[in-house]
Formats: sequence, C-alpha cells, structure tokens
Amino acid sequence: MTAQQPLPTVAPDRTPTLRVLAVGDSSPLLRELARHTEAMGGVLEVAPDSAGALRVLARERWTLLLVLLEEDAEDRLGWWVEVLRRMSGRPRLAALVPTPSIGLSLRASQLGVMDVLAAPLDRERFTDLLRRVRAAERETTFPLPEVKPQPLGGGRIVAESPAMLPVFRAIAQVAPSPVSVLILGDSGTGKELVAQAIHRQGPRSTQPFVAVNCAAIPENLLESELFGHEKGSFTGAVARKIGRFERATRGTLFLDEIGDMSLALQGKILRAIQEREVERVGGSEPIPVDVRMIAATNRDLKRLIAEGRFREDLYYRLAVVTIALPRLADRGDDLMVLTAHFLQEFGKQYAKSFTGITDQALELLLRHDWVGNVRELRNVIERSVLVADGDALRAEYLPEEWRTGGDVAVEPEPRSLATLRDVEARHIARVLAHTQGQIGEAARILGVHRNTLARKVREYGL
Amino acid sequence: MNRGTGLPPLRVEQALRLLPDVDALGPLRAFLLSTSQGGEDVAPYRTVGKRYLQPTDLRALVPRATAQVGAHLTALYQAAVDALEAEQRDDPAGAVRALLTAGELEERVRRGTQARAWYDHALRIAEGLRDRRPEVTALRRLGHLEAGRDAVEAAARLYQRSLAVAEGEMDHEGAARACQGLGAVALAQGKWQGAESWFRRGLQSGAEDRVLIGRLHLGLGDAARGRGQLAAAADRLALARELFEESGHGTGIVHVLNVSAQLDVLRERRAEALATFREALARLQALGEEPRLELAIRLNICQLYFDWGRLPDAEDEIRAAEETAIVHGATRDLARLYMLMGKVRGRQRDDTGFVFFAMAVELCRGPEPAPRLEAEAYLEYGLFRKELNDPDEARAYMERAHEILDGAGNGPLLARIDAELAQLPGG
Repeated sequence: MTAQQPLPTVAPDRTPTLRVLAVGDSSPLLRELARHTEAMGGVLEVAPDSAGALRVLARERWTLLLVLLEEDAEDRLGWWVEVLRRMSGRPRLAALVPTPSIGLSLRASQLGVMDVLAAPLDRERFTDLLRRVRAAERETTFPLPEVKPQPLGGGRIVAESPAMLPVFRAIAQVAPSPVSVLILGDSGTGKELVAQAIHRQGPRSTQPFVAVNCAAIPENLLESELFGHEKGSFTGAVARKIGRFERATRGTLFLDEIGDMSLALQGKILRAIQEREVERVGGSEPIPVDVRMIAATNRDLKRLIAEGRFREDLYYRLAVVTIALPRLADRGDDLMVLTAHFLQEFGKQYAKSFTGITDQALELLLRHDWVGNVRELRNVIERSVLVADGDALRAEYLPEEWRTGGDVAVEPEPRSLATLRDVEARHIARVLAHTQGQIGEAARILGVHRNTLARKVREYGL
Repeated sequence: MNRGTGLPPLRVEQALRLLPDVDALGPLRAFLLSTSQGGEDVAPYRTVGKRYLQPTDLRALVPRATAQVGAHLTALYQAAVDALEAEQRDDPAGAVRALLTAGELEERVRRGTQARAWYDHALRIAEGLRDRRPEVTALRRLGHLEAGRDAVEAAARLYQRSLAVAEGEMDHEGAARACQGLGAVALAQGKWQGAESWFRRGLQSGAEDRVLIGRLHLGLGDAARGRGQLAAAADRLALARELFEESGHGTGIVHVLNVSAQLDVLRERRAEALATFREALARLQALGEEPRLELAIRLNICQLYFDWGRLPDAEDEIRAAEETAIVHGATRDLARLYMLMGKVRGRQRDDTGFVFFAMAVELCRGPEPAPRLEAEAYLEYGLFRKELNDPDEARAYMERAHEILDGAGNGPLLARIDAELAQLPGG
C-alpha cells in the first residue's frame, strides 16, 4: 500500500496517565504491583473488595481494573466482565490468579479480558500488560468519512479515487449498447460489481443478471451448470436442470474467471454465442438463448492464447470492450471510504454502530499489503466488527499478526529481547496470515516441508 | 508457476481425472491430495478439487510414498507371519490376534475393505475355537470398522453378536465393550434412549476397567445431552472425567470436554462452549496426533460459529479443519466440512455455494462409500436450494436423500427428510 492518504495529525504529547485499580487484599503482592506501576509512570490504588471497587469505579476514571482472584476465579471473572459491560468509560480488565488453568485463560480471552497473570507475579509480564494498556489508551479516534456510493457505478460501487474514473466512464459508455465486455482485474477488485453496474444501466436491466464463477465450479459440473441437463443424464443429475445461459435469457450472463475453462468448454461457449442456442447435457433439442455476455478474468488471456490454452476466436468475441480495474493499493483514499462503508454494512448486520476509527487502526490498514484487494478489506472489516466493542474501529480489533508481526509498531516502548522460538512462531503466524492459513503455500514461502510446518503450527498452537 | 519447469501447477481435479482407480495407485492419490495447496484464485469457493499440485513436487515425494507403502506392507507381512508361527505353536488364539492386528493396520491407513477382509478371516478362524473370547474381539473389531464406514445397521448386528458371545462366556469386559459399541452406534443415529440403555447395560456387566467404565459414563452423558437432560449429562461427564483423570487417560478427558462444550451450547453459553472446545484442542495437541478426534471437535466449533451467526469465524475454522482433513485423508470429515461451508454460503445467499454440496456428495461416493452421509449431503443441498427459493430443485435433492436412506436405514434422519419434504410447496 502506498501511503497516499494524509495521516491524521497526532498531538505530540498525549501519553495517558496509567491509572490502575486493583481489587483484593493481598498486601505484599499489591505493594509489588504498585511499585511496578509507578516505575511505568502510573498510579495504582487498591479496593479491598468488589463493593468498594464498584464505588471507586463509579466515581473516577480508570485505565485498568486488576482483580485478584482465588476461589471461583471463572465465575467471578465473568461477573466482572458483566459489571464493566454496563459502565461508561470503562477500564480494561485483567486478572491475577494463583494458578490459571488453560480453560480459565481461554475463557478470559473469549470474554475480552486483556490478560490473566499468574501469582507469584512475573514482573516482565505485568509491565508488558501495562504497556499494552497504555498503547490502547493512546489511540485517538477520528470520525469516519461520509460514504456516498457512486451513481455512475449503479449506486453500489463505493469509490472516490481518480483511479476509478476510467472505470465509471467505461461503464457509462458500454452499458447502453449490447456489446460484449471483458473485465480485467486481480482477485477481489470488484469485477462482478462492475458487471452488475453495466447490466443495471443497460436496456436489459429489468431482466435477469446471472453470474457464474467458472473457476469455482468443478470441471465435470461446469458444462451442466452453463447449459443445463436432463434428469438422469449423469450420476448426480437427480432432476432436470435449467442452465445459466437459459436462465439469463433476455438478460446478462456474467462469466467470471473465464480463463480457467477447458478448451472443450470454451468451444461450446463460442458455439452458444455464435448460434444463439444451447443444448442441455443429455438433451437433444436446441434451445434458443438471447444473452448479453460479460466476462471477467484475473489472468493474462493473451498469454494463455499464445500458450494454446485459450481460444483466440472466443477472446475476440468476448473482448469487444475491455475494462481494467485498479488494485485497492492504487485507489488512494478509497481504502478509508471503503472501510467506512464496510463498517456501516456490517455494523447494521451485527447490530453495532461505528462513528470513528482510531489513528493506530488506520495506520495498520494503510501499512497492510492488500493482496486480496477489496474482498480482503471486506473480510477484515467484517471480522473486526464481530469482535469490536464500542463505536470506533481500534487497532486491537484488527488481525493480531498485524500488530505483533512487525507491520506497524503500535507499541513504541522497547520490549525485552524475544527468544528465537518466539520470533519463529510470530514469523510463521505472519506467513500463515498472508496465505490465509494455507499450510502448503506457507511452507513454500518459508522454504520448509509442509509436514515440518504443520508440526511447528501445532507446537506453537497457531 | 513451477520455478524448475516454468509450467503452471495442475488442479487436483485435473490430476485425479488422469489416474485410474486402481488399488496400487491408492497411496499416490492420497499423497496427491495431502500435498496439494490451496490457491487464492477461487478462495471463497475452493474445494479440494480446486487445489493445486506440482507434479515435480509429487515426483520428489514418490520415494517417501513408496517407503510408507513399504513399511505398511512389511508390518502386514509380519502380522501374517506372526499368525503362521502362532498356528505352528498350536496357539490359534494368537493367530487370530495377529490377523486382527493386520486388520487394525489396514484400518489405520483408512483401507476399510482390506481391513474387513483381515477381520472376516480372523473371525472365521475364531469361530472354530473352544475359547470364544477371540471371537468376541473379532466381532467387536468388525463392528467398530462398520460403524466407522457409516454402515450402522451392520455395525449394530456385529456388536450384538459380540455381546451375546461375551455374555455366554462370562466375559464381562467383552460384554461391556460390545455395549459401548452398541451405544455409540445408537448415538450416531440420534437414538438417545437406545444409546442410554446400552451404556447402562454395559455398566451392569461387571467390567472393572476404569477407562472402559469412564467411556460408558461418557456415553451416558452424551445420550443425556441428546435428550436435553442437561443436569444428568453434566453429572455423568463429571464421573467420566474423574475416572479418566485417575487413570491418566488424556484422550478420555478431551472427549469429556468435547461433550461438555456441547452442553454449554445447549445452555446458550456460547463463549464458554468455545473456550471449552479450545481447551479440548489444546489438550489434544499435547497428547499428539488424534486427527479423528481433532476433526470432531473442530466440526463442533464450526457448527457453533455457524449457529452463532459468526460466519467469517465459521469459515476460518472450516478452512483450518479442511487442511487437517486433507492432510490425514479424512474424506468423510471433509464432506461434512463442505456441507457446513455450503450452509455458510446459503446463509449469505450465495448461489455458487452449491459447489460445496456437489463436492460433499462426490466425496461420499469415493472408494469407501458413505450412503448415510451422502443422504445427509443431499438433504443439506436441498435445504440450500430451498433457502435460495428454488423449491423444485430442493425437492429433487431431498427425494434423492430419501431414496438413498430407504436402502441404508437410519430412522431419525429419514424422518427429518420427510418432514422437510412435507414443508416444501406442494409437499
């Protein structure tokens, strides 16, 4: 991602005061905690019990509530989560437990508890917790930009970047005519949205728009998907099926990922376009079809033609007009606008409302390499909305590996030197995030055998 | 693109089309699948057939594949020679044990038909012995195999024979184990009351093995969960856990956590359920490889996310589980995962999601057919079509599911299919 967007200005000195409220009555331990907090430039006060803590919490603003739990740790932690949920300006929650079980730690993390520390206290872990609390507190929230879908894009394409202007211009030009269009662009750039926009602004807009992802459908089913089949014509043909060509009659047929089709099927599609009729698999009657064709691919069709893997005659039939879509990385401010759009969309879906984004969240988004383009952004925002709590998109809701994997230094304080094992685990996590969990691909990038990587993934609990 | 040859990789579906379905190529087909990689181009709709492989990479792995095949054959031959030596020593029970070991070896590498041949052979010899305990074991192994192959009716018959012989021989352990198998088969069919009766009978058989007793309590807990008796289920699970803990039986504890989490789901304590499932996975990791159990837990997590409406999390979890299923050749679990992925797409009203049901059906028809699962896949396919307002196609798929089950059995699933069919317009 090129950092074209002007980053919001950040006030030079706004280090928040770290105010920790500890709940418990273990004096030596509390004294130790207070000492470490002061060393970090913060203050720690003590409430001996829950009732006292609730009174202090209602009166003053705190950055961290640290509860010391001994018996029924799980239930009491759940109780604190519930209590804080209803509190405005609520602090973050952490717990100190004599011997936290795996189960308790997992439950705590599910409940959004920042950390469960073990007693006796590990000073490094405690100061690390304070650093994380401070880093989260330091985020400044900015309002989200207003989202206006482009009327030129049929009202569904969200874009303000000049890089999208040629796309809108092309849509406006080709939509009224019946010509075939070939849309080029990387995965996730929104090829289907553009095809829909062309359809909606054209004379066939009241007729069906039928999309087929040719690469997604198993090869042995693609022909029957496109042309239909008669009952019993092959194993699995449990009923007569109307193909996509027929379903799109008088409307638009959008063939996505056209470059993935076998040569034999390419020939059948060419025949269908030329003769304006199809035959169902297992059928004997030709069926007339009248469709506008829009195709799309992320592959270099001319190269495939040169390699003999794509029919040139079909290419010229489909590519009467071509429209090339820019990558998200080349769309400048659209990242922010699309983020706001998806926050609204998923906010509605999951009954949450977002009005802002923090500077650190924005920086993480800007620094990320959006290989999966808008689709990847959409997925990231949907996942963030699911875990978000509050009305702003914060750095902590974005993928953890972005914060720990070195994409951006959210936490500027020097950390203790990591072990080789930690570094390896983090790097593996980062590569796995890049490959969206694909072990094989990650193993290729890391230059190790997949079984070695699978073992390490298990070992590190990734 | 392959750096050495400059050629693009092949899709798995292309590769499999080229390999004839002959026994000798079975291990190569499995290797081909487990070493394939998922590309990014069809990420939202990627099924195993759309993964990629490089023939050159596969060639490099051929020595490892043949070494594995060699090791497997060596172990089989050794078991066979063990059987011969036992016969020579006039130890027919030892011969039966050796033959059963060979069957277990085949079962471990998911060669069900071959395992069945070894077990059948062992059973025939065992039937001629005066001591009938080897027969009890052979019948139980066969029952376990058939249950794993989705043939629940056959499994139940074999376990019943095992139980009858064990009771006749006063073999308390054998009887309890047969009851446990019968209970598990009933659980798989959703026959909760029947399952409960079998597990209770197992407990009454007088077996003393603490782990076995723990398993029977675990089964009772699971059956009580199925019947919605949550307090009773929790009590049984606590008992089972205690027994597993005192015996140091880690896998048993993981099983208990898996069922406990399902209890939390029924109590609508989803965050707690999720944490318990994760704890189960973490414990399992420490125990080493148990892919079947891992996949069972992961499938439960996927279902939990799906029911919770957390579709992106469900999808992530399905993809993680898919990788495990592919690496371990767990075809049936893979089919289940694709059914769930199809349901996710259905919820998103994404028509192309049908590819997952189509793949699930195809997986169920492989060299080890799973008719009950195939029927389930057709049912879910029908529900997907129903959700996308295509009642005609929905009916066709559900009718196909009915047709398959008519031959394969399973009352509760058949009843569900009929109920869904009745709800369709014109039903």
